[in-house]
Amino acid sequence: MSPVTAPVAPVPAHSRWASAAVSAAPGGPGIRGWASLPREAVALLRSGARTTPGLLRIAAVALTALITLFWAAALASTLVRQSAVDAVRDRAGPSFVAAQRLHADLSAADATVAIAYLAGTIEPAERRQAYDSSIEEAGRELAALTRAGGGDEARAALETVVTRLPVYTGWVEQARANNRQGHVVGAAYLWKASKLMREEILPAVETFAAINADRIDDGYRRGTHWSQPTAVAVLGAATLAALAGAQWLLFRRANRVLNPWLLTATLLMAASLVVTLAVFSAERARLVEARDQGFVPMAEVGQARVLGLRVWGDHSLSLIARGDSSALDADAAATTERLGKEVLPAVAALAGPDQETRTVLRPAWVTYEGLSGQAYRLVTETAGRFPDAVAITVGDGAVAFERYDAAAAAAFESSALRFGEGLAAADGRLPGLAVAVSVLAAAGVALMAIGLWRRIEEYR
Amino acid sequence: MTWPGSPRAPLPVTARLTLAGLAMAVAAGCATLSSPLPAAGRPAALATSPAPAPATARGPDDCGDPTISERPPAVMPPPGAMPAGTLMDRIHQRGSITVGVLADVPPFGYIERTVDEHGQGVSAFQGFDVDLAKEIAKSIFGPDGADETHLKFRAVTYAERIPVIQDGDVDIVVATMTTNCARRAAVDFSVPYYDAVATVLVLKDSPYTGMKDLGGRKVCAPLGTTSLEHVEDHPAGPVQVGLPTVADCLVALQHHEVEAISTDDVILVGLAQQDPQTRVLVDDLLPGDADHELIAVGVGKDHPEMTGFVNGVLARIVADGTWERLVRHHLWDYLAAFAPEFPRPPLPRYRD
Repeated sequence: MSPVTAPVAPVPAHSRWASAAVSAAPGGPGIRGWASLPREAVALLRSGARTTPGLLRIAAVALTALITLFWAAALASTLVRQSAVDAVRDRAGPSFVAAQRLHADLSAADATVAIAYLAGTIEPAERRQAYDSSIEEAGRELAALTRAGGGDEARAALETVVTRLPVYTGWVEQARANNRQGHVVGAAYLWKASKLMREEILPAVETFAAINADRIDDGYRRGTHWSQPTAVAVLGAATLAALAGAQWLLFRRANRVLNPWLLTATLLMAASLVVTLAVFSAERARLVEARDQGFVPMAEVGQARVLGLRVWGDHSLSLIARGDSSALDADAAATTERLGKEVLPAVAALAGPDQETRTVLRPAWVTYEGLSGQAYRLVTETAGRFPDAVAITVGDGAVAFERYDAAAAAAFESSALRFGEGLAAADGRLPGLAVAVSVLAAAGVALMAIGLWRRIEEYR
Repeated sequence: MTWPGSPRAPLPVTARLTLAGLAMAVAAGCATLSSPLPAAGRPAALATSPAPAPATARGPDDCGDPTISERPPAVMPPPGAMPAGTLMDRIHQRGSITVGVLADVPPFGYIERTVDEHGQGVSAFQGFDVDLAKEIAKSIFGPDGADETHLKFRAVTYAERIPVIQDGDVDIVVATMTTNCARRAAVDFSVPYYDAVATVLVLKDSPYTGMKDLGGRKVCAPLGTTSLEHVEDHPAGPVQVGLPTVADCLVALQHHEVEAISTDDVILVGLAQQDPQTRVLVDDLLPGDADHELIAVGVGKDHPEMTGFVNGVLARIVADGTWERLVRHHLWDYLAAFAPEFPRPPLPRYRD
């Protein structure tokens, strides 16, 4: 705006109107800047501002520029927000949710194999089915994630899962075949498979989830950046001020009370400003809801679920390992500590509409923990009542754990749903806004031009 | 805010209000949001074992004959009447004896898993070592000494055998434990109850005939065993690979990660039965070339009376034919294929 408005500022004595009309935006280049401008342009503006029609022409150009800038800021902000929210809604968000589900499915498969092994040489049919469906489900998630793509890092993480998972299932089947024949080498295969799952596959899924969590964070930042509404507000205010100034100019120069064209243009611009900020604010509020009622509980409950599955798997594998279990017991203890002292209290502290789905988790976990502790003591403290420990673990312990796991899965899904709904709602009005600000800006420029032109025509 | 050059024309009040309202709305609703993963939603790292399996204790081989052990009492106390102040008496008063056994090494110590008539999984400790432990328990408690209330098994890995005795987690260990001087520095041993021979298991189609062909090749043995030491010390120079259990060694062999497994002959036959595509190299079993592993019951160093008592039980079961019955039941099926004759119990040598 300064090339048009600024030259007039240092010549206040010439015409007080000139400065009033064109210095709506405060500030401008210093005195040194003038010298560098083409002399002709300065001369033209000076001569133009000397007469009322000339002044009005300059005002028309300045107002057009301001409205255009305002429109550009509003449109660019809207499009940036829309693309950021879309990226979270269509890619990073679903990928994160799918990664969490994949993590839970794979953990469930691994824990199920261990508990099925404990149950005896013939694994119970329902465990076999549970393992099969977990692996199937994991395969489905993987296929969807692979199609969704992502950056190189995400692709590398997925590739690890895709290439290692068949090796894992192969080892599990070898464990089964040996187990059926009563061969103790089956346990060694199981252990090898579980090690692969824990040390390579699950960390890769975690890496993939973390990458998508970062993308969600990035989408949130781009989709709600403070600079966007600030630019819109400042340029909108400047536009409204300039329009008011132009009307003031006309009022004084032409001695007219009102210019209905300019007044309408002003109202349209005011509406554009208010609507833009209102939609931005609503979008932000929906994103806050999606985060606080969807993303955060989902991530925490998802973690509570996979940590629970990990402890469950540790307990079963520890019984299978029967002696060489110090690493498993240490992992179970550390994981239980994190789950019981950090994750479950955090989950319980979450407020929000799905709270009742989460409050059941802690007592369910405590029940399981009691039973697993009982089984653990049977093996260690009272020295090797291994069959009793196995009976508790595959019986009441498994029932209690499954209650916890089902509750965690349900709480996860309700939060995931809310996350998706919140993102869809946040995106909802942005496309309409892009159209609205464009229409309003075009109408504003047209009305303003008509309003000023009519006055200019009167001087001919 | 006033117009430059027109001091008497302030911004209209309505415009000011509008601007102020906008500024407030902008300030309240435009701060950039972030949505990082909550702390409780971050994955937890895998915890590692606080104490990795200890390396095999190797010490000076200067204790003379490591098979010499306490002389049994002249008259064995009858079950239920243990001499006061002995570990046997404490065990009797406590009501149970805890024995460390292997859980995945057939035919010595393993957990047999079956399904009962109700379709429930049932698991029970089985094996030569396990039956030996039952004989010892019966000598303390009487005929019902081998039931679940009197005899409690603690599954141990090879590497855990010495620590569980030292920590007092178990009263005795019956787990194919080779008696040698290095170990005698840490625990006491009974007289040997079996004379095993160290040999090698390879894949059926491999060209090896014995450890002598395995120079520079990877040979697996369980961590914390004398077998692993023997691999390390073998003049042919095989590359030792230590894994937690013999089953882990079998998995490694099946995946061609190692060329051979070296441990006691009977254990290797147990492994060969789990994989018909392997064979035990009998060449190493030839007399003279054989590497004998005399296996004995491990007892805490503070309880020579217990060691003597166990030796008394061993003498009894050799004398009354129980030893032969147990060997026939647990081991002979494995050995018959290549052993020249039915094994004989090692001759006991007592201190003094």
